[in-house]
Amino acid sequence: MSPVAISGVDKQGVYVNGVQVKQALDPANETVNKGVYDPTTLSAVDGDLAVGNIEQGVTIFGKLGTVVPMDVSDANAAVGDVKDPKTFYSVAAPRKTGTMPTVAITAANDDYPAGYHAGNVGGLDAIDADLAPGNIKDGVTIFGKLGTYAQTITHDVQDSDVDSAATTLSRQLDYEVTSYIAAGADGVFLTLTINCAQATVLEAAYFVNACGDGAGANNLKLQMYIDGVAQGESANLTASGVFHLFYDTGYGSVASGNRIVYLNCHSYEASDNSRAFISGGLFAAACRLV
Amino acid sequence: MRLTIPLTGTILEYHPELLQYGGSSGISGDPNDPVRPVTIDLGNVSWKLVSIDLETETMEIEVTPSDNVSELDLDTEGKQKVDTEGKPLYKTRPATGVEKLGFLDNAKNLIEGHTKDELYQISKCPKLKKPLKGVQ
Repeated sequence: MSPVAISGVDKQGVYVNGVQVKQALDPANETVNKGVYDPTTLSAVDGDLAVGNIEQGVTIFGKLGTVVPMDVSDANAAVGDVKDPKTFYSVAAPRKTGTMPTVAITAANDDYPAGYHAGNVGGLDAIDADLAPGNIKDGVTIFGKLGTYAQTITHDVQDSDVDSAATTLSRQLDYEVTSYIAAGADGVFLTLTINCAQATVLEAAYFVNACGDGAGANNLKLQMYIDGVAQGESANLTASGVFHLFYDTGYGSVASGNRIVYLNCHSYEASDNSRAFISGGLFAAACRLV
Repeated sequence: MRLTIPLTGTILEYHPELLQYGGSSGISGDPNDPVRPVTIDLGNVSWKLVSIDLETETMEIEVTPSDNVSELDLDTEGKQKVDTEGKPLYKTRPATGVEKLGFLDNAKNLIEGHTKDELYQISKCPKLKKPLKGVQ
């Protein structure tokens, strides 16, 4: 006759209807209740209690484990090294989530943020189309783009004169002011154009009362060009409000045709906030047949 | 004091038969990219063209120190004077002999202290362009 559980009677080895009630181990948990058990082996109760499931060197209920753990001691990733929100495991639990931000270069500024860059197979010029040889100064290479843009004089011409018949041309300078000159750029005070009917020596001269103005007033210099060739450069203009006499002469023989002479102010200042004043003077050019 | 500086700019015309007249004779530059020494601030000196050597692509210049020095105007307590708009006031005084020598030394060191290639690099100016046929 099988044992019959009777409500109100526990299983602590009592006899019910002459049969002893016994306990049994459950592989679903580790509870061992008080009571009487039939003989068994734990590995028979839970088949997972096997040497192949236990780490090497560890013995559980007489089962010496054989599983060799993976050596990950040389792993060195930290969360900041892994792209957000990818997850990974390292030597120590728990699973970790990367914090490295995904960033990108934009055409709006020259920032180069730290983080993960997806890249652009089109290159930097696909991000900013202005990164092109024609926009880069001739001879200067920016990110592999060799510039072809020729440096030019900014023809901020305040005044000009042309006379195709005259062999001499002069202009009195009363009160002349260049616009604010950008760093490293030029502002032209006056351009004279003479038509040379034949080969001639073209001479030019200026004398002006001038000074600088603005943040880089002391880093401005006057320059004179004849037919596209520099003839000379003044010393530093005196600073704002302190006019001083500057003068120069130059010459060069030229072939027939329209020839240009001009008086220019060059800024050696690092900032853009400078300009030059002329309070009076003369700029003249003359042809002399050769 | 004479210095020799590498050239930049673009030559549009070259007339060797006119070279004999000196100065910039025989050479016509692009007004938008004139033939000129590489852009280096020589300091408080002026210079004048002496000659151009197209073979070495250099310009010889005569350098002269400025006769004047412009400096901040200070009051008796060493404070900077300003005008009614708050702009600093300057005063100009004659440069001393020692200062003039210093101006020349500075210009000389800037040029002769570097190779031709270094001067192009420092100035970030391209080499002289001679696009026309017949320009050597």
